[in-house]
Amino acid sequence: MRAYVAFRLGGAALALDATRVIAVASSSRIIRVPFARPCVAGVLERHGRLVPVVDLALVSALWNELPRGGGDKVVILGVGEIEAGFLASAVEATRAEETTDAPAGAGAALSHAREAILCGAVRAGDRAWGLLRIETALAAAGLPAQEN
Amino acid sequence: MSSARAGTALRVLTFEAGGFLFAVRAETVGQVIPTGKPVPPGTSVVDLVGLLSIADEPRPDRGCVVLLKPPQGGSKCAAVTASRANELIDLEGEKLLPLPSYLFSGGNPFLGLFPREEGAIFLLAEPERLLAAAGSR
Repeated sequence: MRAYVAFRLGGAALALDATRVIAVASSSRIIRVPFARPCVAGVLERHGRLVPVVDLALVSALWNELPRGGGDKVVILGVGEIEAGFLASAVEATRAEETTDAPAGAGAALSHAREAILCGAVRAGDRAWGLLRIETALAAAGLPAQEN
Repeated sequence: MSSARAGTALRVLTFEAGGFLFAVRAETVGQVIPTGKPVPPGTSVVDLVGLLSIADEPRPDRGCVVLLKPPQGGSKCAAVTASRANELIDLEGEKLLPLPSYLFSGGNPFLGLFPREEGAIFLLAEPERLLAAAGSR
């Protein structure tokens, strides 16, 4: 069992390895930026620097079925030399194990996301989340993220 | 292009458009002209209010035009429309935070932003950069 940060992007139940996540902030702190690309929700000021925040739900290349955008939280992580955040809801810390056998019901939630942004699945009891390939997702949103 | 220097006070004129608070360096401002009054011939006016308006919303308020002095060595003035021009204020240059260029598909139109409790102030670069940024969204 490992620690993960689980969250929802629209209808998709997803998770990240907890060691990737630097902080979780309220989306009410986002500063909207005029003329930014549509998937850019804005920026957050953090330790005297601006952290870009994207709404991955608005990046159509990532989804089979476009999820509802928005989210009340910003999940912030280190991506190369920068910090970047994305909007999410229902953010929670959880312990889970990798699985190839997602429980019934999880399949529908995971099918929202294209396989290219998933690198497996984790489960805890009867709950399951797709493991988000975050560099791929952020790169598709136009951020300078590189695959590890 | 000149840039804000750290450790220096920066006098700016703030103005509103599209629900955002913008600023230009005070030394670049020629005058603020109320809507309806003519701008000098040859002035290139960037309709900032129009660029930020939303199609379904009622006609946005263009209360004034902020006329900028010609750049050094140039003769043509540039101007931006605004809902309202506010005031001259002093900001600390070192609090200006640069916005990453990858946030914009058509180039970054800002020198940076000043985060404040009462709302961020976006410091404009050259007005022409607004057109590039707005045209490529």
